[in-house]
Amino acid sequence: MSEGAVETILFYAIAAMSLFFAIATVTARRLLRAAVALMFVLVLSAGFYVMLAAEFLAGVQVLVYVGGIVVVIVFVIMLTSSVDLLEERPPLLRKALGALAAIGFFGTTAAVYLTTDFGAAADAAPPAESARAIGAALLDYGPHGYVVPFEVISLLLLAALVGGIAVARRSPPPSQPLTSGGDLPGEVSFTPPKRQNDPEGGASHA
Amino acid sequence: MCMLPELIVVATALTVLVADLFLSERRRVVLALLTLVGLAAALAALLAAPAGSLFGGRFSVDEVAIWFKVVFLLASFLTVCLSLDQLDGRVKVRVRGIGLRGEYYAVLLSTLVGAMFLVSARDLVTLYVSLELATIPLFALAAWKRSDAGSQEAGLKYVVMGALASAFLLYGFSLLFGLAGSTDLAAIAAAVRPSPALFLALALVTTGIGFKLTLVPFHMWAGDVYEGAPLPVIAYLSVASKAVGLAVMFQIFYRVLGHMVKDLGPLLAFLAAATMTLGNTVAIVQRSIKRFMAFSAISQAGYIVMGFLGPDAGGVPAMLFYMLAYVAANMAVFGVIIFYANATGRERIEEYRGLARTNPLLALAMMLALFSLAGIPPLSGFVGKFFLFSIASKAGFHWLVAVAAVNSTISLYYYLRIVRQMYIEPVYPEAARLPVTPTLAATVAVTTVASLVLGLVPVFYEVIHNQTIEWLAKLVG
Amino acid sequence: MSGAVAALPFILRNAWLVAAIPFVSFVFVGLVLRPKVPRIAGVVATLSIFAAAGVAGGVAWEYYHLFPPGALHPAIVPFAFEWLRFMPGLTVTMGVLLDPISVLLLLVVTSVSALVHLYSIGYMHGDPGFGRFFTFLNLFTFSMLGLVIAPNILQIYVFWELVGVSSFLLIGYYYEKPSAVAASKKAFIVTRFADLGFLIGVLILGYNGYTAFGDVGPTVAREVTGRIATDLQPFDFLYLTHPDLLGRLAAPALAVGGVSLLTIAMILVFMGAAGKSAMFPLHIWLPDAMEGPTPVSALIHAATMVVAGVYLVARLFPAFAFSGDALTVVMCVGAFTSLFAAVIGCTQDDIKRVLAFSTLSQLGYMMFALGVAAMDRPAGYTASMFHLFTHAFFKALLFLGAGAVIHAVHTNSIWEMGALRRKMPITHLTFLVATLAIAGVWPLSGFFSKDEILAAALRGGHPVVFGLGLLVAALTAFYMFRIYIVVFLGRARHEHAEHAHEAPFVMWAPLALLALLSAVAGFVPFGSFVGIGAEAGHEGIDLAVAIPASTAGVLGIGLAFLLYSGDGARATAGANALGGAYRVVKRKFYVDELYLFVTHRIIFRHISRPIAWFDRHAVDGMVNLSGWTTRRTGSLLGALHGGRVQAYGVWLVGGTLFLLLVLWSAAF
Repeated sequence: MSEGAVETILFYAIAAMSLFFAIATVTARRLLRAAVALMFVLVLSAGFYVMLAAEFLAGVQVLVYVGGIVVVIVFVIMLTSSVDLLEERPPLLRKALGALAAIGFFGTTAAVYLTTDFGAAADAAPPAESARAIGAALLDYGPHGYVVPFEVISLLLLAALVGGIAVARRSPPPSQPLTSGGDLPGEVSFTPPKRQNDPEGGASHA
Repeated sequence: MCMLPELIVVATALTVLVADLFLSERRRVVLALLTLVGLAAALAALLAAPAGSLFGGRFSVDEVAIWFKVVFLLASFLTVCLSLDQLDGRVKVRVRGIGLRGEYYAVLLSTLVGAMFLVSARDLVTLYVSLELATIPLFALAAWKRSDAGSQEAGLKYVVMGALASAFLLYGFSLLFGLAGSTDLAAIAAAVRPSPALFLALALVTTGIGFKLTLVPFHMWAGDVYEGAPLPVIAYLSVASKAVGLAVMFQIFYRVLGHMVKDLGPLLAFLAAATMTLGNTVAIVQRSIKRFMAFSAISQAGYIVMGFLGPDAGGVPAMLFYMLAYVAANMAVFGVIIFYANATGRERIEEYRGLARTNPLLALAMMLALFSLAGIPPLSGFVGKFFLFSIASKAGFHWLVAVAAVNSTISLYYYLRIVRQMYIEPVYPEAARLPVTPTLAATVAVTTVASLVLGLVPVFYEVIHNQTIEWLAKLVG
Repeated sequence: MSGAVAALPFILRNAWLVAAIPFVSFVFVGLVLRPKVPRIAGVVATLSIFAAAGVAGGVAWEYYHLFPPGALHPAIVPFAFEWLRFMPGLTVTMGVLLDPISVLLLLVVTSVSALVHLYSIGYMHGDPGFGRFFTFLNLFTFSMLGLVIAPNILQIYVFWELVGVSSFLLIGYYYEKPSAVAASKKAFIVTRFADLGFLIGVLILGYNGYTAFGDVGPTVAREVTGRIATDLQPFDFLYLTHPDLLGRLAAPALAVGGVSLLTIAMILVFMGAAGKSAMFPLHIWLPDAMEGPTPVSALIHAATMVVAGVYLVARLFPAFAFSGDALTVVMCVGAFTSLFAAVIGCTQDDIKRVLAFSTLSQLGYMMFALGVAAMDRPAGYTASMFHLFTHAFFKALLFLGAGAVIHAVHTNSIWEMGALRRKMPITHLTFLVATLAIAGVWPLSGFFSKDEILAAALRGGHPVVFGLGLLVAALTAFYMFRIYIVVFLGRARHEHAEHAHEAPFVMWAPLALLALLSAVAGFVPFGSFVGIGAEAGHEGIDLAVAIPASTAGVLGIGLAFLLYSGDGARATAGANALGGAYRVVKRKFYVDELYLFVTHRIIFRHISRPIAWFDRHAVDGMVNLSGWTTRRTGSLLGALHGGRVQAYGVWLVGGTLFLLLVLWSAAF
């Protein structure tokens, strides 16, 4: 039994599991279950990276997505006490449409890949990039470096952080000066605002 | 130093953020001033700095990029001018939960930096990351009215749809990378050949662009987000965010697919026709001025896309000119909308009745700006549409010109609805002259005059045309 | 080619200032002064027009410095810019064309307008719409100047319409008066109707000019090298009036039903000109337009707007002359209007209406003077422009004098005036000068210009027109002295007339200035300044013409004195003797009634009603249906945006797939 055969079997096994958990993510009615299923999908994706000899990327995948994002999602579910919440069953039509869109998308992309001649790109060996090479490329300011996007990302993270905090901060009650950033005392109580009912506004349907 | 404008904007954002920490609540009024000074300095640096490139060509500034950046900077400058009254509380009717000025300006400036990097990007990674920087902070800005459920809803919907569109775009980019083996735009342009995978990449990228530019059917989010988001943020969304979409479209369609752009004509024409028609027909039945402006902006996006139909790159100056004219007119309209909301809290179209009696000059400005949007001569919107239509007509899309002309007529009808409310409907019984703050008055005045002058004086178009066309001819070959 | 233009004197290169100054003033007065400090609106508006007049003077000085009197006066376009580019080779420009007639009109329009502005400060004093009035007046002056300097047919059309709009605003200035509103509507509708012909003419000329541009354009462009600031465009007058192009347009291949295309186009253009210049049968709006404030009548309906039609014919004169038939139409319409209006003028009681009909008659004079001219015999052309020049001064003076009288006695009816000679000595004196001038009495200006016209008619081989001209001259002298005698001499016929007093300084100063101009304008050696084609002929006074003309004038004056001095019993007796004929004339030959009959009885009843029925039931239905469909589609499409993000996601995916499939299928 050649090494290629083992790899092939492994690939299909990972792919099948990945597919199973992905379907579980979107069909689970409990949020927590969906989150756990998602975690498995992400871990299994790291498996693909390993098979493509991108071990560093696999590590990052596990660290960031499993260790970071899924944990945050679980935190949110726990803290907002929506563990017990069951997602309402969508009407059949919406289910059908969603399925149709997903299957259509899958079908067409599959058809695309089957009919495209990828030529040389298909046979090329995956580049064996070490963590060191990736790090060097990120900070290389020559014609093949990525220092600009690297810096842009830093700015993006800062902006997202500031924006996220700003939105998450409690707003001042009406008695406070309008411009208060919410850092003055006396704003413990939070009264849910009354929405103006808009007969034809779409927002109220959601 | 061709990156100086970007650096000035980044420095301003950081300064504002830090200064916010050390200023007392009352003194934070200066933050707006600081922001405006920074933006003005960046604009000056942009116009003074020569074209050039940095980092071995990974960041480069050419004539088209300069004009895009001018549009971005002007739009941001005007947005700050429109925002500061609400943020500083100089309003009659308070907007619930708005505040956190330092953060607001810093986040707004960050999106601007993203937009500016994006037109200078020469590789897919920078392009994508800059686009994210130009988009993600907007999610937060849309939800900035923190105790307002509508604003929260707008932010949430924007996040969900934005993430979906961004995923599509990234998928498309990764396919392009896969097909060409390089992230460099010029290298991709040299490597790609028509193949089903390229079409898939193209469809996915167009989806992502269509989301930013609100092309039908990727525009769906706009109505809901515009309805809930704070007014100045909508003004920014409708102008700068569209310009961002246009810039990405330019980067991909001319830099990567320059040799194929002719074959994409019929599809783009179809998108343009669908977009303008849907935007216009839906705008007719709107009652809320915010949703109304959302669909009006969608239809404007339809007109702008016509510029890509040109057999040569002649459409780019026309698009840039239309963008400038659109910035002027739309900002003038939003200036009046914000003024009216600040003074009375009214945001429905029929509530504009009698504005011409209480505030005749503002009503006049609004009317002129709306006419410019509808494309009535001699306002700049007319000249801009004229150039765009002639591009489509030269490319042989006569049916599209006919559709666009019919759409212009429809749009005139619904823009006139507002004019009718202002000028013909009786005034509110107790109505008196509404006070207007100096910044708003100046903003509305400047933008209205700009919409007039851009139409009457052809010099601007000539300058854009001459600066960009020669350079573009080389690009498209 | 712009090198030669760049070498022109500064003021010629910047002649656009003459129109720009009133425009800036219009914006400033309208937006800032009118709502804030209307009191100084008048002063600012007036100063701006004086400044424009200064620029016009500078332009005239430099132009005639460059092309001295007596030499040929080519048209130059020292300033032009591209406004819209349809495609390479088809561009709409805006600019300034200078040739003798545009320089002449610049001087006339700015000077009369400046004096009318000055006069209005006094006349409109205390009026609630003071600021609005001056805003409109500035707008009108701007439009008129833009029309005068137009170097191409599209610019002249744009400003032509703008002039129409501003005159509409000014006639309807007293908008609370139903008659003023009706008059302004009438003026607008009649001239708009006429402009339809003009527009079609412009389109025919423009289209054929454009298609022939590739062949003829380069030749013309070579000829005008160094004289124009931009490349020659197919709409430029320099191109449209070139014989090579006109020859093509007049070619039998393009003829429709035996009439050459050129003739058709020029007659359509003349239709527009006839509307603005109130030629029969499109004259009906002008007498009603007297509902506007009197300074407006002086400016628009005497000196400026109504001569725009004459100016247009003169501007396109080579084309009219080339066609020949079109010029004959101009002559016939002009001559008929001239007589027709003069006859009506003898019977009117409203002082401003008499002046209005007199204006019609004099405009007819100018028109037929153009009609009797030809490219190789341009005396009529020069004479027409000469009469335009002198008429502007004395007719503006007559209107302003009438305004002063109306201001003093608060009525328009001449039978409620009388004996104003003593109460208003300055007004009386200036009015007398103008009356003598229009009656053609030597040595006042009207004598010279009328003399030129009659001489041109006689030498051009049109003895009938010459005889008609003499008759009109006599009638003119008669009806002008009729109102002069009734208003200023005799006894006061009404208590208002007894309490009249002289106008204030700002009102009589313009009167005095205009009187001076009316008196001396005839001594200008006009023929050496204004001409076309072959060397103009200003032969001095031709006794064979001067003696019959003066005799006719004196006869008219004598008849007026005979009938109207004293108690006017002889006039009443005369009118009674004429009986029905008098009534017909007094009712203006029932032309208005005829229009009413045709429009109301025939068109409305037998044509409009069926159409209206069809319109209401079929067309409206369609329109409503389309509106309903649009709204309905809007609601349906709006319902798609129901606010459900999942649905939006499905649309997004669907859209992507659609794009992919279209691209993919297009590739096969």
